[in-house]
Amino acid sequence: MVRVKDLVKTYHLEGLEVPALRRLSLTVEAGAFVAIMGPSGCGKSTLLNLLGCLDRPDEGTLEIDGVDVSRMSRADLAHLRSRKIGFVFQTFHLLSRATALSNVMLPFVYSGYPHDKRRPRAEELLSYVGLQDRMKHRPNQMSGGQQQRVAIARALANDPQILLADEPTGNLDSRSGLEITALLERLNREGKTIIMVTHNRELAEHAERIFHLLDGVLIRDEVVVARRSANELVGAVAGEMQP
Amino acid sequence: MTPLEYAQVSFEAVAANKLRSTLTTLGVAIGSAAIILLISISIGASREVTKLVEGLGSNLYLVAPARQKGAALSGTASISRLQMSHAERLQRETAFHVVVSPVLNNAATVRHGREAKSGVVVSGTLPNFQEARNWRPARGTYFRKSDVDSVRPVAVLGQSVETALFAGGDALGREIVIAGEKLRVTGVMESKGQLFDLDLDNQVFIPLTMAQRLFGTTTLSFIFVAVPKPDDIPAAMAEARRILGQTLLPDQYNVRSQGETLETVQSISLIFTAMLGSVAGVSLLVGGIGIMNIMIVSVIERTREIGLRKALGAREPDILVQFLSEAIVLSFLGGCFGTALSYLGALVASKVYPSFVLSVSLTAVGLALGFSIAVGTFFGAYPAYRAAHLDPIEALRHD
Ligand SMILES: Nc1ncnc2c1ncn2[C@@H]1O[C@H](COP(=O)(O)OP(=O)(O)OP(=O)(O)O)[C@@H](O)[C@H]1O
Ligand SMILES: [Mg+2]
Repeated sequence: MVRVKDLVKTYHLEGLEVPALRRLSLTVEAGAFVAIMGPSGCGKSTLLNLLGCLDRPDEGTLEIDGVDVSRMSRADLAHLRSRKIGFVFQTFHLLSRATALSNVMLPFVYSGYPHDKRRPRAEELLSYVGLQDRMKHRPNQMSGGQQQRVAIARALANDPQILLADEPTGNLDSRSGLEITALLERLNREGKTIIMVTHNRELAEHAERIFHLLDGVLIRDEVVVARRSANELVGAVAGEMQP
Repeated sequence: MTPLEYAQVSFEAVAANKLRSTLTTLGVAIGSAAIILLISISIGASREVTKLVEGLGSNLYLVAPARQKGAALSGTASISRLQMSHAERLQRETAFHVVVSPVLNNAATVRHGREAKSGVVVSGTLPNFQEARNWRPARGTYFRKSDVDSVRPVAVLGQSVETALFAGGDALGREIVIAGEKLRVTGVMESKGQLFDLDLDNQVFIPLTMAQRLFGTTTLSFIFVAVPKPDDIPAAMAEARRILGQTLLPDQYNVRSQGETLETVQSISLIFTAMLGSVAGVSLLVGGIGIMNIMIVSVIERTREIGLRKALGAREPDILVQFLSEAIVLSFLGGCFGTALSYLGALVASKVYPSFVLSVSLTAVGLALGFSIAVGTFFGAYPAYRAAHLDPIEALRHD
């Protein structure tokens, strides 16, 4: 479970104070799939970075699984990131000179995952995201959708409880975007907590709730009534992804 | 992360930019090669000097004209006040069982038929020179006391002189000409080898009396004194100073042991080593700055990668060590190239100067490799520190 209370984050830019989050509070239950929406600059990425322990809030508390992480040391936060959190980025952030397999194996280095299990685990994950035929491909030899699937496999490497996705479909065409959302949905069904930032209302409706942000505060906590599902997707996509 | 993983990641990063890495390591390579070669040369040289001086005999001391101030620098020879009488007095008044061997030498041109060799050291000695220096003919005989007394025109050749004048043939019984005087060759000395450019076999030994006649002087160049036991040298030298002090002023002569000569030579070669070493050090410094430069570039280029690694759980020390080990790998590779380069250099040197045996010193190789690691650590520290302290969010946004 992720619980955020009165979170404040202010950036300082050449003496100017830029408030990004202003006493924001929200709760995400374990195993939930939530979307975060809001206009550009409203603080979505700032919130996600705080949830992902990449940064510390100026004020307020952030609890992950009942532990307040808002005052933890940077080393402890790094440890938390490697065990509990998986990141999916808009621009994938794959190492361009490494193969899909090596990219997926990268997080093992920092979690001390057993050496002999690294490769089988990475292969298993790549198969899971439907890339069993692309293990030796480099990022520039893959489509955007495939690259994002490698990134998701990487995020899953250390089997984290929480997946944070900041506009994971922002750089993809609508079909690939749908595929990625379907993948997240499936991971959610299998127990992961998913927090996804998106500008796309339709994709957001795959989540069970949508948090609407404006100027650094939560203005609406919407429960999605007519939830969309990947099952409605083109059969080909779903078929491609079933192992 | 284990050390092996660090090494692997570093090698991959270095290998990803082969040309750039190679060029970067060049500075350290040249610096290391220079260090290895210079130290090897200097170790080799001081070994040769030591061998040479020890070859002269550790039971030997030398009476020579005092060095005039600045003589060594200006190259002017000092004027000798040493006479045969001093040598006789030393022999007569000593309490030790010593061999006193006076020498008068001069550079001269030695001829045989149409062949001529200039710059040969012509040494007038007594027969006891052989015992004093422990240096004897390999073929034929040295001249005897009667030859000295009757100023007989005989000569014993150093090997280089024989080779030069007799084109590989046997010189025994043949005739050579020095300063217009015909001398018969009675012997050829054992080879003493070479010290740098100084060929110790480029000598001709003639009776002392003959040398005095040829060179028109009765002074001696120096007097060798051999003492039975090396332990007696200090006492014997003190005695020599007392005896000579009766007839010579303190600034007219100089008594010194081979050990002292050795120390002087060794301290000179030490200074030499230090000087050349610092020249090599400068190139290592430049190489190190090159590595620092390329590491800073690398950190900037890979800012997003650093951000990503942090997002995936890398701690600051992880990133620090990753980039530090990359710098060390670069620098160490430079050290390895440098080692290869130094062996190549030694090979070339031994082809160009066959007389000078240059063997690459393993100590020097170890030192240079150690230095290369130190250089990588020192100059890699700042870029690695910068990488480790990047803010992950800003690093991920970097383009
Ligand atoms: N490093 C920074 N320095 C200064 N101001 C910043 C910094 N990062 C974010 N901001 C500001 O904080 C506010 C929130 O930024 P944030 O990136 O969280 O917005 P966002 O909701 O993710 O927008 P977008 O939809 O465009 O990604 C913005 O006004 C932004 O200008
Ligand atoms: Mg954003």
